[in-house]
This record gives sequence, C-alpha cells and structure tokens, in this order.
Amino acid sequence: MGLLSQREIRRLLSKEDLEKRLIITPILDPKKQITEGAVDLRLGTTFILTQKTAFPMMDATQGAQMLKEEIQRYQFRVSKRLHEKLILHPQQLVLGGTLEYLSFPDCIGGYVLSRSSWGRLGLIIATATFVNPGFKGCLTLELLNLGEVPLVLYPGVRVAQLVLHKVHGKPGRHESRYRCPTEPEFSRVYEDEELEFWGEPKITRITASATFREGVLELDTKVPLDKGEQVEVVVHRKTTASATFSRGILWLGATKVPFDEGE
Amino acid sequence: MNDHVRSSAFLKAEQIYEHSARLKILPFPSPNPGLFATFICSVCEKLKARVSSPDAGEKETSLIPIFLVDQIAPTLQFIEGASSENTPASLVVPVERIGEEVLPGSRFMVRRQWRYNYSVQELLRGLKEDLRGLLSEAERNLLFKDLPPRLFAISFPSFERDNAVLHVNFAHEIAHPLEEVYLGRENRPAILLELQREIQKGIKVDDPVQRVVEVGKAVTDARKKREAALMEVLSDTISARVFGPSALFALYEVATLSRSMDRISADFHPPWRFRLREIFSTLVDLRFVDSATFQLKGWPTEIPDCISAVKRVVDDWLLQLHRVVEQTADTTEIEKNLSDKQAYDSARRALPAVREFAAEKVPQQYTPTVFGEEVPGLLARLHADLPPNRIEHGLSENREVRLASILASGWLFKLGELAPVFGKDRDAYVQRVQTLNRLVLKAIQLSEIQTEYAKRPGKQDNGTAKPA
Repeated sequence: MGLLSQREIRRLLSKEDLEKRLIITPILDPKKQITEGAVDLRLGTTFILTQKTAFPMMDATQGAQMLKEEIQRYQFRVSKRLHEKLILHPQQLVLGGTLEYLSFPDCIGGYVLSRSSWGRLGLIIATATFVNPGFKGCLTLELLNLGEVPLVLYPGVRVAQLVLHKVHGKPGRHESRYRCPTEPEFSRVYEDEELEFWGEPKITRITASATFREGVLELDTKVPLDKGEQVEVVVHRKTTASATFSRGILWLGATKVPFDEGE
Repeated sequence: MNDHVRSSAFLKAEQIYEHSARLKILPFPSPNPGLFATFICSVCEKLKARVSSPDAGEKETSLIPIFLVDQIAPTLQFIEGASSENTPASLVVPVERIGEEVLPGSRFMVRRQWRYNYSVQELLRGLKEDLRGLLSEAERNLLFKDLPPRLFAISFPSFERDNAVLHVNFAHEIAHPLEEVYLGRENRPAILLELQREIQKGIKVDDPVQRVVEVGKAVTDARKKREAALMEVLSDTISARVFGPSALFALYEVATLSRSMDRISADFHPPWRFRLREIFSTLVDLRFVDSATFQLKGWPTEIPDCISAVKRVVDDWLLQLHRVVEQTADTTEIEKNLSDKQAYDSARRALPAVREFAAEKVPQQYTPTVFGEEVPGLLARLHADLPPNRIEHGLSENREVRLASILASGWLFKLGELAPVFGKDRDAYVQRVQTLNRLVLKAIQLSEIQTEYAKRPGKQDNGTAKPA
C-alpha cells in the first residue's frame, strides 16, 4: 500500500462524487492540517472515562450480555464544551473521538498515529490504528498518558495524524460493527463470538434430584443456560448424586448410565 | 417553637444549597444552567443568614421554609435536566441564541422533562416577587445582579433527547413569551364587548339574573379560548418563520399523539387540525408551499435522482396533509358550542394582525431561496451517511449552511427516504433513524465549531468561504 502525498490527498478530498470522495469534515485549517502524507485530526468533545472503583477487573471472555453490562458500568461518558479542559493523569486511559467525521472511499485505508509533539509530552493515541476502507464516522481514539505529569487537553486541539494509503486490488466492502459513529464508542469486544471459547471453562456444580415424567426429565434445581446453548444430560438411574455442569454438559453423578426413555 | 422553625428553615436552606452546589458542577452545554445554580446557592446562603439573624421576625422566619420547599427546591429539576447528558447538547447553544434574538435581553435553559410535552417557563419573575417579603432590597439587588432580566426554561420530552429534528418545536416555545406583548396591544374592552354582544344573542335563558351569570361565564370562557388559539398560532407562525417547513413537520408529529384532532382541550388549547391548517397557510404565505399544488417550493431545477425520490415522497406527504387540513371536523365541533364559536370567530378576525405582529417581531429568517440553495446538497450528504454540516465541493469551495437547512434536510430525509423503509424492514428503519439523529446533531455541532473557529482572533485564510 502506497502512502498518499499531500497533492493526492487534496485531489481525493475534492472529488465530485461523494462516494468516491475522501471526506474529512470539517478541515478547519487545511493549510495546517494537510501535511505531506498525513492529515492532522482534532479532539472531539465527548470522552469515555473509566470508573475504577465500580469494577474489580475486566475478563473479556465472560458471557456477552454480562460483559456488555460490565463495560457500561466500568466506563461512562463525559462531554466538554469548547475551551473546557480535560485532564489526563499519568497512566490514565480515556477514549475520545475525533472532531472530524470521516468517509473513506473503498480504495483508501488509513492509520491513526499520535502527533509527535504530543507524544513527546507522553500522550499516546490510538492503539487500534487501522481505519478500514469504506469507513464512515468519527474515529475513537485511545488516549493514554505515559508521561510523568497530568496533561491538559481541550476539544479541538490537533492530537492525531491520519496517514492514508491506497488499497491495491479490488476492494471489498467493509462492514463495521460501529455504524456511522459520531462519538467515541464503548468497546464491543463481547461481539467476538469465539472469545468465550478461549476463556477458562465455566464449571457450575449443582446437586439435583430429577424425575422422568411423561417424556420430560425435570430437575429440582434450575440450571442457568445461555440462550441457544446445547446441554447434554447424562442420568445415573435411581441414584442420588452430585451433578457437574461443564463445557455445556450437565453431568449427574460420576458415570454415564444407560438410559431408556421408557424407564 | 420559634427555634424549631428557625433550625428547620436553616436546614432546608442548607440541604438545597448542597444539592444546587453538586448540580452546579455537572457538565452543561451552555453557561446558563450553571449561572442559575449559582444563583440558587446564593439565595440559600442569604436565607440561612436571614434566619440566623436575631432581628428576623417570627412571620418572616416561618415563611422562609415554605418559600424554600415550594419555590426554590423545584427549580433544581431545571438544573439537573439541563446537563449535557440529559439534553441534545449540540443543539442547546443555537436554540438559546434563537431565543435571545426573538426576546432580546432574555436567556434560556434547555432541559428535559419526563412529561411528554414541549413547554416554556419563566424562572426568575416569581422568585423575585416572593423574595420581596424575605430579603431587603439591597440583598435582592445583589442576588440578581449577575442574572439577565428574564431567564426561561424550555422543556422537551426526555426520551426524545436524540430526536434532533423534532426539537424544531423549541422555536414555538421560545415565541410564547411574546404573547403578553401581543395581547397588550389589543383593544381588550372592545373585544370583550363584541364577544358579549354576540354571546347575548345566542344565550337562551329567560331569567334575567341567571342570564347575566351565563353570559358572564360564556364570555370568560370565550376570551380564554380565543387568546389560547391566537397564542398558539402566533408561536406556530414564528416557528415557521425561523425553521420553514420543518415547523409543520414537527407540529404534525406531536399532533398525531393527541386523542382528538378536532376538540379544544380542557386547558383551552385549540384543536390540532386548526393549528395545522394555520401553519400550512403560513407556509403558503412564506412561499415555501405552492398554493395550487401544495408541494414544497424552492428546489433547483436539476436535482440528482436520490433527491428527486425524496421530493416525490415528501410532496405526496404534503398533499395528504393538505387533505387533513381541508377537512372541517374541528369547525363543526367548535360550532356546537356558543362560546367556542364566538371565540373562534373573533380569533379568525384577529389572525391577520397576529401574523403581522409575528413578522414585525421576527423577520423571516429562512426563505425558500436559501432552502433551495442548501437543502438538496445536505440531503445528498445524508444519503451518503454524512453529517449535513456544510456544502462542500472540495477544499476551496465550501460554505456554511443555516441551522434551519440542517434540520430541514433531516426532516426531508426522514419523511422521504426513511419512512418508506419502515414497511420493508423495521430494524433497519430504527437503525437508520438513529443514524440520522446522530448525523444531524453532529452536523449542528460541527457547524457551530466552524463558525466559532472562523471568528478566532488573528485567523489565517483557511480556504473556507463565508456563509451566503
């Protein structure tokens, strides 16, 4: 992928067709913002902060619904007016958005980098740097102060650089999980379907007696299951035993016992 | 006993002070709620000092806690509801600015309320009056010295926070305080006399004493209904002068939530059909709607296909709405009752004067020409999932647009492009309306920032043109 020059960026920004045009709106000061190979981006007005005392730790492999709720409890939004400061303390992570709304044509991708003048003060921006071709919206910036002293930020300051590249080959359409965001977005890591698999197996031990009645095995104890989860039940006939719920299987007793529906 | 009253008053003042001080530090989209919270803190401080003073009288001391709980404590909801989180934050400052243009010297706070209603309320006048008996003139002057002469809270239904285009209704609320100016100009005795004369002709009561009572009641009733009708038309007219056709769209959305389109409400509000008819007619007068075809005017001769499709749906929508206002079920309803009929006959005679007054107070801020220059381009941006903040054709060729155009493009997109999606895919419809709301609010924010940035001291040429 080739880096786009200033001239090429300006040409793409001026295309007549909105779908083919590279849109970065507003570019308040084109002379300052469009440099050789990059466009400076400004900080938006909304931020997502961490509420450390509300939450002991973040385990992304827990169930999707639970994780969604935990993330919303763990983080909260704050809006700042223009000229109102946001103080970023050392080691603090804050999600911010770009002031600019972007629309990439399918043939352009990009990377978001810190501006070096801010980086030298300790401000690191955008740990998730890639911007997909076809992206539309405001970018979420991960702002992290790696310096020794608190940094004062204001909406509108130029904190990031967008480096643009041409996509080679026929571009496919990227479907983002964040549709046209205009503010920073909470993490949606819980939408990764396979994530739960990689986490520690969840074992729920239950002790339950069960009765087979009219073709239905009824447990005395309710077993919490996620929607759509398959459960394998192995019954130790006429036995009182402890049961284990492991990897989607409910084990009653230690051994599998042949079981006919007629019994 | 007096000590108990004093301590109770002191504690109430302290508690309200603490609440207000906590609310004061909330993030607000404008300085006005913080200013008001500071004022409430100062009132509490003064009243604490007053009840602590040995020369405070018993009557005065007993009135302070009542004033605090009845008058001061309820104002905290205005401050809380005005926080950035609770409001369509990017719309607040532009709305406050419109308010300050319509009512010079006034300031506004936009806040949510849980009741489904748009409303306006003056915050300072009543407090100023009630503080007369509690604090000296010097103390009162000190309290009010940093405040504007009038401060209004404009409320919106809380769950409509992000429904950006519906907030066109703010213009209607901003205009309400003008009603006392208009009514002050009317020849009230003559109007009452005329109402009385007409009502007397229709009252069928033989007993002379009873007749006087009935006529008196009917005249009072007719006066209230007449004034309510005129005031709603006045506010709707001003809303149309500020926001053009969006005023009609926003009014209709609220009207559809009413149980009846044709009845005068218990609090004298005119029938919705009457209001819709009048605002429709205002838009014809303002040349936004064609008087023969009832279609929107002002479109350029050549528009892209995606915009033509929107225009067709909206024109059809307007035609249907015209059929709604052509019906006269509200008039039939009104004519069933003598005082209603007289109230509305009198109101209809006054409507030209109301429109003239509206024109005098608020010059037409939005015209079909500006609509035609700006809205098609903004619609094309919405069609491409872009915020309608600006007309852009490259870096050197771009210009600002009016707030009214941003909102009009949002309305036309919602009615013309998104409404047809509802029948096909409801989830997609909801998602696209949410995206539209976000894009419109973002556009308003960006437009504000661009304007402010362009005014910065020592600005350089940034390659952007001034607004038309």
